[in-house]
Amino acid sequence: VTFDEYVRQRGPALVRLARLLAGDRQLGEDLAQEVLARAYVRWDRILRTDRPDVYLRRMLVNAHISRWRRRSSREYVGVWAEDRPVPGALDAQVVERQTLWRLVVTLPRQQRAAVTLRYYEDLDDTAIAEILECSPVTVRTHIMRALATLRERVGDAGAELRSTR
Amino acid sequence: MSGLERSLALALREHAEGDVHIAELIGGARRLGRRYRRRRRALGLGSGAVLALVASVGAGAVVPARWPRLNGPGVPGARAALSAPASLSPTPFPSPASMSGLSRPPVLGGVRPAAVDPGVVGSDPMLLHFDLDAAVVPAPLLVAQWDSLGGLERLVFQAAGPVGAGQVQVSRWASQLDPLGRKGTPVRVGKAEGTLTGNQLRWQPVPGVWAQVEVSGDKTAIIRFAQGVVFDRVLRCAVPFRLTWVPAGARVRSCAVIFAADGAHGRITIGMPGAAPRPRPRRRRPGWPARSAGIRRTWRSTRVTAARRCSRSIWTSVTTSWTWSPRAGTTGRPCCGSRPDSATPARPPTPLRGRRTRCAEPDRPRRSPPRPAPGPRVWPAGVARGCGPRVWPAGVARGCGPRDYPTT
Repeated sequence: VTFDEYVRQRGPALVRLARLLAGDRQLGEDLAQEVLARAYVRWDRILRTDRPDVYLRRMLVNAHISRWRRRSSREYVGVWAEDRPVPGALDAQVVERQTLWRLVVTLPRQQRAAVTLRYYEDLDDTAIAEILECSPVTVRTHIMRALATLRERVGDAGAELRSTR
Repeated sequence: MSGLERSLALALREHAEGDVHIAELIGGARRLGRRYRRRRRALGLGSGAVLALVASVGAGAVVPARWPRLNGPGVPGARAALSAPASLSPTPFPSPASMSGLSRPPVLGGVRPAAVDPGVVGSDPMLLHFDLDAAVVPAPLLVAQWDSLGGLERLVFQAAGPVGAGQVQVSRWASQLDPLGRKGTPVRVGKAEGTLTGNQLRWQPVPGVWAQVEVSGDKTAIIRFAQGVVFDRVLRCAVPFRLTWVPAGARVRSCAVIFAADGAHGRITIGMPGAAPRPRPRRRRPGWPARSAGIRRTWRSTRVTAARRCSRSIWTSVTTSWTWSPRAGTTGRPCCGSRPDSATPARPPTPLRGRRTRCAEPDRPRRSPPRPAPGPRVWPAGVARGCGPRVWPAGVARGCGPRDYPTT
């Protein structure tokens, strides 16, 4: 399979995963393009692994972490839009999902990656471990801690929302 | 699956959705990939010739006076030094055999080395506060670049043997060094403790100074290489040309001298005071200096620009770098808004008459006409196109070209 064919088939999924990892649409698309550019340079080698999907997802996770480590990635210009949902104005489930997403973005990088691969890509522990280059036990730990954090923070956010009604 | 997990899956799906323009994605990835490939080839071949280049030979043939400040009124003699005629003519290329050992800039006496005063590291871009024992240098060496930029002093080399490429980085801040991998092993480098991760070894040779080496080999070889890094002398970043005119108040931002088989090459970047965002830690860590109001103010000033990545362009908009090659003569390679009036001066180096113009961000002129963005996709307008101030090994042109994003 050529590079173009692969991107046509799997590119959209890669971009969507990147959006979730980066927590921002534009940053995610930048990240996906950067990873695909690096993959383009060594496409023959990636094909020899017979598992380009796993390889590219691993590149994506690593590129996201590398970008986060760069000092320039911490520069944000402008003001973050605080468009918090107003209770009662929207469906309660929509409000809950928006709240949940804001909390997911605050998770540590590895936990966010593990949660995304589990609940969006629907991968099992072994596949996630292969992408994150860790053991399945570590994957389960990441997910368990992420869920515990989300439960705790969702509870706090719910109390905050209820108090504003 | 619990209710939380179901909500989580739905939330993720909602935020991942959206159109993906495959044609643009492929086109952008291919263009960017070709750029990466060119950069890798340039580095792999050790071709300082691709970029900033030229001139004198070895460490002995050399250069201008030290420029702590190029044109400041408070520096007597600085203007005289700048206006003096170029004193160096290109010398014959050294033979490849002369690169069998490590060429290095000349040693500067009478100044405090890092071993005595850690605070001097990175304080002057024209000085390098470390050296490498010739015994640990792999041979034959194809290219060696010594550079200093923004507090990070570095030696990057490329050897022909199995060792391949390697580098030494020295800084007062660990965050300026290349990130280490996750699984580190504690090792000892002389009397200091260090962390070994893959081919990278980081340690603190002196309290307040961080050093990191990256070289191929086993653990013993890497530690031996690290022990060859010494901090008891100061090298002068001696470039083989002299600028006879610079904007008033300009300061040296970075300096690089590159020794390749075809000669020595130099590169100087100057900028205006206060224009460069300086590194500021997010939180105080051991080894970090305390935050100062000045640094914070400078940093914030870069954040009022129109787009996130424009902050780099603000830096480069008042920066011009000059490189010199025996083939091309002295050229001012303008970055973003700077451009010299004389694009191809004669050789030997002649005075450059540069004119500084600010980047017209976010509507900076593009090299190629913008393509219309199909579909409803909204890209950040006026995103600065990766004009990084970093001096790359082998002088790879990084920078001023348009990135592969359409704008709306």
